[in-house]
Formats: sequence, C-alpha cells, structure tokens
Amino acid sequence: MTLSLPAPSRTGLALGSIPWSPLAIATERCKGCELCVTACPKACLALDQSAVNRLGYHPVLLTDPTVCTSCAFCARVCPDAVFTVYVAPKGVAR
Amino acid sequence: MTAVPTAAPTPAPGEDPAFSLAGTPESPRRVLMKGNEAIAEAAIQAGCDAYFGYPITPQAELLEWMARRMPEEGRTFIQAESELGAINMALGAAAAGARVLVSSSSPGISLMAEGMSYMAGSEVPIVLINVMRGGPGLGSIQPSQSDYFQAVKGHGHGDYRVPVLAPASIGEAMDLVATAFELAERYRTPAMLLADGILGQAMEPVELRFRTPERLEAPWALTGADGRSPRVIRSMNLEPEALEEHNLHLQEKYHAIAEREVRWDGERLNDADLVIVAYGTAARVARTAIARARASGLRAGLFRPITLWPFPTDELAALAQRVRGMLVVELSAGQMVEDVRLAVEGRVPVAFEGRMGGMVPSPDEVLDALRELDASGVSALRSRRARRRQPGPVSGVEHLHERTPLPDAEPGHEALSIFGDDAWMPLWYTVPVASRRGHDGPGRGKRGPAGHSGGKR
Amino acid sequence: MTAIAPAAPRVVYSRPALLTDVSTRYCPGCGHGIVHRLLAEVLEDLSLGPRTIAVAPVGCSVFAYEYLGLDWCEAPHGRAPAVATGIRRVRPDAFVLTYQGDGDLAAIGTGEIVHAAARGELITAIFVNNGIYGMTGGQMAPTTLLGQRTTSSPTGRDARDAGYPVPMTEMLAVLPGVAFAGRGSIADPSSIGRTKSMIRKACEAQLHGDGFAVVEVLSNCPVGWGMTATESIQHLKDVVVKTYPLGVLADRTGRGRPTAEGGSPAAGGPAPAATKEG
Repeated sequence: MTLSLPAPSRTGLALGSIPWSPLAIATERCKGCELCVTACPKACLALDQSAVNRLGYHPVLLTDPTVCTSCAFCARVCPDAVFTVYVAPKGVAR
Repeated sequence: MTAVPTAAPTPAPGEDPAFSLAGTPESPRRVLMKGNEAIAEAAIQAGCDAYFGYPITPQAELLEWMARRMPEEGRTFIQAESELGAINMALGAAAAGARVLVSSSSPGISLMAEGMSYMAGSEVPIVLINVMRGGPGLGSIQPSQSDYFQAVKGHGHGDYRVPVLAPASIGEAMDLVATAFELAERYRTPAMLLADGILGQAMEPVELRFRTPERLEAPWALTGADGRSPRVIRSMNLEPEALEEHNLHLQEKYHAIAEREVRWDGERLNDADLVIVAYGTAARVARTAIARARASGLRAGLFRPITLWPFPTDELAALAQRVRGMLVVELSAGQMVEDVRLAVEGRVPVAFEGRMGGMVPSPDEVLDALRELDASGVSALRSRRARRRQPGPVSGVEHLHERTPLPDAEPGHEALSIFGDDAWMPLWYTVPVASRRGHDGPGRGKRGPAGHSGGKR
Repeated sequence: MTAIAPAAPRVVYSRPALLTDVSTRYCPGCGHGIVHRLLAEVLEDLSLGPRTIAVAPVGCSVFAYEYLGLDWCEAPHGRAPAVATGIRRVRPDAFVLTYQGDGDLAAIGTGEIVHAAARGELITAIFVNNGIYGMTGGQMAPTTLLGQRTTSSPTGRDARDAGYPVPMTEMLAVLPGVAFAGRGSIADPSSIGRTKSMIRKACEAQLHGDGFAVVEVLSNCPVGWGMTATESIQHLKDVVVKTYPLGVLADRTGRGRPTAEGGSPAAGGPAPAATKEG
C-alpha cells in the first residue's frame, strides 16, 4: 500500500493541482455487505450496481466525495478492510 | 537438560538414599525404585521440558514425582483439569518446540485419543505413557494389557500409527523413555510407552543409568514470526487432493519407521521347538514358565516384541519356519495374538493364553497351555471364561464350535436364540408364547437371561 | 508523476499489515472479519506481531491462520485454552492468544477455558459470540437466545428442554485468576471502538503479568440467523445486547504477578521476567 501518494480520484476532488479522494477502496475485496453504507453518517456510500467484482459482488462506491468527512466509520465497520481513508492536511482547502 | 549428578556413592548424612540419585556414570548406584518414579526420573534426565498429567491409578506416582522434581529443575509441570486438558497442553507445548511427556492410564488414554490423532496429523512429537489397567470402562486398577489395540491400531481417528514401546522391566522402561523421545522427534510423531500396573507399582533395583537424546533442529516449531514468515501447525486440509498428499507423506514416514525401528528380544530361541510370544509383564511370567518347561524337557523359547508398532512381523514369520507352534500370552482377551497370526500366515498353530480384568496368569497356567499346544498341535483360542465352561480337556478347535444349550423355558414361554443354533455365543431371551409376533429382536422383552423369573443361568 | 506536493493528504486509516493479502472465506458482513481486523490493529499498535503465537479454534474462524500473519497452532474443538497453556508455559517470551467461537468456548470447551482462567494463565482469549454454530450449518449453541430458531432448535429455543443462554464471561469474571473480562460488540462504529479498547486492555493484562484476560465480542451470523448483514447488525443492537450486557465485567489489572500466597508483589518490587512493554 503506497501511503505517501494521494488516492487516485474518480470524481476529481483537487488538492491544489493533485486530484485526490478521501477513500481508496479495494473493490476486488469488497463483498457488498453494506455495513459501511449503514454506518456512514453522511450516506455517501452505496453499492455500485453497474459493476461486479471477481468475487461476484457489487463493490461499494463513494458516491459523493465532497460530503465525505474522512470519519473512517466505513473503515471501522468493514469486515474485509477494503478502505484506506485520507484526510486533507490542515490548513489546505479541499 | 541436566547432567547426570556425580556425587559420592554414599548418601550424605540425613539424606534419604531412595531419593538420592548419586552415583557416577561409570558405576551407577543401584537404587530400589518404584516403576512410576523411575520412569519419571528417566524422562527428566532425558531432557523432558514439560509434563502434563492428571491423577489416575496406577500411575499417580509418576505425576507426583514430576510435581516435585520438575519445578526443582526449573521445568514445566501442570496437573491439568482433565486428561483432555493435559493432552492439549502437550500439543501446544510440543508445537512450540518443547520436549513433552504425558502419562495416564487406560480410561484417560481414551480421552487423549483425539489429541493423539491431532498430533499425528500435525506431526507434533510427544511421548505418552499408558500404565495399563483392567477395563473396559472404569474397570479395575490392577494391571492389564488390554489397550494393545488402542495403542497399536491408532487410538484416535484417521490413518495413522504411533511407535509403541513395551518394556518388560523397570530398568528397560527407563531406557525406553529416552528411546521414545528419540523416535518422536526423529520422525515428528507422537510416541507411546506401554507399561502396565505391575511395572508402574512394583519396586525393583535399578541402575541409575540415564540417556539424554540430543536435540534435533525443529524448523517447524512455533516461536513467534520474528523476521521470518509465519508457521502454522495444523492437521486440517479441506482439499482432498492435498489431504491425500499429506496422508501419503505420513504413510511414507510410517513405512520408514517400520523399516528401521523394529525392536525385539529373544531368549532360548536357537533350539526352541515351541515359542511363547509375549510382551511386558506377560513376558516375565512366560520366562518362568519356559524355565519350568525346559526343566521338564520341553524345548521352549521366548520371543518378546519390544516395539509393538512397528511389529516384528518379518522376524516372527522367519521364526515360524522352524518351530512347531507358538503360544501368545497376554493380560487380555487376545489382542496381540491377532498380529502374531497375521505375521505367521498360518504356517504354525498359534495358541493363546490370557487373563483379563486385572488378573495375571501364573507360570503354571502358561506351562499348562504350552503343554496343551505341544500335545494337540492345533490353534486354540482359550480364555479364562472359555476354559471354565469345559468339563474336561477338550481341544480348542472343537470348543469353538460347541453349542451352548439354551435355558429351559418356563411353561407358556419359549426360548429363542437370536443368532440361531449354530451361534458361537448365542444370546437368548424368553417371550410369552401368546404375544410372540415373529422375531422381536433383543431388548424388547426387557428380560435378560439373568432377570427372568429369578434367573435361569 | 511529478513531485508530490508537500501538502499531500494524510492517511487516517489503512489496512493493517498483519492481515494477509487474501479475501476471507467469511460470509459478507460477518463479524469475524471485523474482529480479525481489530486484533491485527491492536497487535500492531503494541508491536506484538513477531512475538505472538496464536491458537485457532474449530469453527468458522479455524481459518484465522490464513488471515493473520502470525505463528498459529490449530487446536481440537474447545481445547484452545489448554493448547495455549502449553505454549505459554514453555515460551515465556511469547505473546499467546486464543481466538474462539461460542460453540468452541462455551460448549465443548467449558472445562479448558474455566481452568485456564482459574490458573490465571497469562493468555488472552478473544471470544466471538454470535449465538450459533456457523461452520456446521447453523445449529443451536449454548449462547443461542431463547426463542431463537436454529437448525437444531427449529421451533425456537425452549428453556424447558434446552435451558437458558449461558453468560460465559460473567461466569469467568468471578475467578480470581481473571485479570480482565469484558464484553463488547461490533454493532456500530462506537461499539467497535470500545471493543478495540477492551482487546487492547486484555493484551496489556498479559504483558503486565496480571493474569488471564478474556474479551467476549457479540457478533453476527447473517446466514445462520437468516438475515441480511444489515438486518443482523440491527438485531445485535436491538435484541442480543439485552441478553448479554456490554461492559467491563472484571478488572483486576494493575496487581502484577501473584505470589505463592496469592497476594500481589509489593509496589516497587522486581518486575516479572515475562513482561515486556510492546
């Protein structure tokens, strides 16, 4: 896990000139259990019905990175540890 | 690992000579020791790191000796909550690389069967001592050899064997403890020492001569994955192809043990005409019987297996080429006799003499059986109960097929034999004639032979 | 890629390195995954990975040895505390833990867990209680709730013939050898956080030589309970915690190693040899 690089962004949040996302999701390990969907206080996670991973599940997807607060509740409840959670460093606007 | 103590041959003032293990390696002292305690001390001197046990007669003294001595040596001793606990503590300690001893007696060994299977499958080495007592079930506390099947045919589930060593004297037991550790560690398998209540409880003068087998490398042992990839000790393998591979590996190991580790002892076999095959305490009785037989002109010898597994099959087969008959003597209903019969493959008659329930045959009983074999030359399967039924001397072969008469039925009742008239040991019960509807099967009438109308037997 | 700007996002959470790089066999939403993860996090926080020898049970979590990169010993059903005792006594420097389910610990293993606790063995037991035998197809366990339907209590557990759910951790908590006994759950993020602290405290009880430690984690079994993962978590919150209250049930930490007479060494006495800060 290369922790020093920002997560690649699917939706184009920008940190200065670097695109990043609060969450990196190991989609191939997700089992679509939806515990994170229930736990997320911002309701910004949902299963990606358009995708099926190699385990046969719909993996979870961050639907709106702009509302994610990097609380990491999703990571806390995930039985398969698919989440890596990032937060913008202090003093830098997202 | 402690060196053999080297002190003056005489005990110090006030020192109890029975507990003073003084002596030099060149001239060890002879001390009167109880078997259980001698075996325990031999294990300690052989470098046993951990002992786990549970009190059970007739091996409680082994546990007690360990309780006193292991902490003295800074080693691990636990009286576990049960034999289940003890064998599993042994599994853990041995998986972590320790040299481990567990002891128990027949009912406790039954509880340990699961653990032995797991250790055989995970290839974890321990030494288990069974000081056999009368069974089955709670049985008696007197000696027996009725756990031969259990020890040799694998006590637990699955395709496995363990090396089984059977001493016939306390001194030999002390040496075989070290051998057991060697075999266990050399082949990564649990190993057993099969003793009996006499060996455990008797006291004999023994030389304090101990062996400490060297430690082998254990690259499989669990020590914490510090700077290396993790190790797993397990026996589960859910893929049949892989489990078969593992079983093939185990079978190769057992094959190697069978090729290299057979041990046996023979006495007066060179000119023997008849051979007694016996192990442990039965062999000592047989030895006296053979001396008496020789004195009366019968050329008898003793073949004493020391490894019950691997069984000295080839040696017995070779012996069968040049003797007239074999008599197997056991403190059981006849267990090793089956392996003797398999080994000789019908070349010579194999007779059996045995006592059960904790009884020990006397040399004269054995001599009688030997004479009967000499006279009749047939394979007989005699046990105490079978002999009691005979009004006079009858050859064993006829006895096997003799019918036991059914009891007289009461008026209005019929006697039915469950298995028919030609059964060897028919069960019988009586049912009211009027209510008989074909063959009801056992147990329906709830009237056993003894319980019906004051007993008919 | 151009040079990373100094103000890169920082990591708040990442997958523990002690978890192996495989997908677990556990069902989607199974609490075992969460407890494995918490254990990995705590062991990493305390730098215990290289010293740990863990004992796996029989049950769904027998596969734990594939998912946590530690030295593991498989134990027969219920015997993990005895196996752990054997390891602990011959490896004073190791960190020894068991990971057991409710069938393993509360049914067939009651003898072993009670006596390891009574002896105050310096081991840490992680007890995952989902009130059912998952691996074998969903049978009733000693901790199954009254009225709960399982494949061996198809009309619901009836106290008249199957007795009452067994509060194992309360039973263990009364033993003087137990330095720490607690019950947590994985029902929501805050419960998970509290459970992680209990696991950490249980590990520290071993490190400080205080005695035996057990953490019971109320967990779910979506397939066995006949629910979706989300429903099973709700069931944990609404129903299960009413039978098994959460919290610390015994805390005898801070006393150090017992002496032969049963008391604690005097304050300032020599530190026990087996304890090392993580």
